[in-house]
Amino acid sequence: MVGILVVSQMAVLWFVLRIRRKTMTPDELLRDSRIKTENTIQRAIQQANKILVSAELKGIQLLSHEKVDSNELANQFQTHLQTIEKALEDQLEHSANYAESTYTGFARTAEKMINDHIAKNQKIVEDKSQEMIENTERLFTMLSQYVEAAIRSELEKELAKSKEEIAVYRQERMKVIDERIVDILEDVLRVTLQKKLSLADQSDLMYKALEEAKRGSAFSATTQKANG
Amino acid sequence: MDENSLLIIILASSFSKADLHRRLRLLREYLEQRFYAPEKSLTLQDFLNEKNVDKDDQQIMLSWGESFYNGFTKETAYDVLDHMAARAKELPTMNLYVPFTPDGKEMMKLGIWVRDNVDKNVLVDIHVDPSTFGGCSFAWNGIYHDYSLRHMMGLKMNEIRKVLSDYAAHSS
Repeated sequence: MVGILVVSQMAVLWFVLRIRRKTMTPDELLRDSRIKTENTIQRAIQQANKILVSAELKGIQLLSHEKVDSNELANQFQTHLQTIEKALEDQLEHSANYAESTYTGFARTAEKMINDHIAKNQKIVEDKSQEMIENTERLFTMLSQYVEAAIRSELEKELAKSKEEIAVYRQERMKVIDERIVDILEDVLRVTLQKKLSLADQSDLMYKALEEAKRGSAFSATTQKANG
Repeated sequence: MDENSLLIIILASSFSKADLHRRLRLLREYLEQRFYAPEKSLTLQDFLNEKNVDKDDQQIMLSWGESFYNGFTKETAYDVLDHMAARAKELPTMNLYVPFTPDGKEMMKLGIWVRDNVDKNVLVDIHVDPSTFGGCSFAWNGIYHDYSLRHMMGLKMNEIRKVLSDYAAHSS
């Protein structure tokens, strides 16, 4: 509306100026034109100010209306917002419940899965452990049997060796004894009797030996070989 | 008293070769002292004491009697002694190996036994040999006879071995 008024004022001003330009001198025309222009400008300014004021008023008025509308809008928006909020709360609650139920279900499922997995793993571990224990027991049994057999074999060898050594030792000792039996007996008798045999005892033994020699004809003139 | 009688007297109390030679030497020394150093005028007893002769020899040499010593004269003494020594070497000798040294009394007993059982003129040559323990051994007429315990055990070797074998068999 303000635009229309300004355009119409500018059209009137242009028409007046065409008419005057046809009757006046150039200077007059210039001066007149200047005056008219200045007047027109002045009026235009005034008109513009009016229009401006009016526009401002209109604006204020419009703003006032707009404000009223805004309040309503705000109220509506508030109401709508509340509705939305309510809906959102409901939705959120629903979602929360759903999430909770889902989570609970998931937790139960997960727990069950975990339990199943644990049980399965435990079963596997138990089976593996049992298998390992059985294998270990079998290995230990085999090892034990092997070690026992090896020890028995070694012991039997050692025993046989010891018996053989004892037999050899005994044989050697017997051989030594057999070879040196007279020396041994003589030494034994000497050790046993030396300090106990008096000169008279030794003399008696000497006479017994001489008597034995006599009985053996050792002193006969024709004896040609050793007796005893 | 002739040379033979003198030797018989000596041999009657001297049974070992060592005794005989030792006493012949003492007799020679005594007779030398008696015939060639009369100024000393030692009795037999004094002489034996001076020479530190052991009791057995003293006793035996004194037992020979004055008549025995009178059988020697200054002129015949050396010849008689030499002849006696030569005769002694011709006497049969039995080398006897014993584990002990017989004293004078034991030697006399042994000599008597040997002369009664081996030869009436035999001389015993004593050799101390510990290996003849438990008996003795001797060489007579050039033959060695071993009657030691060692030798006797050697003769019984098989029986002793059997005893040991039986013992070993029972103890094993």
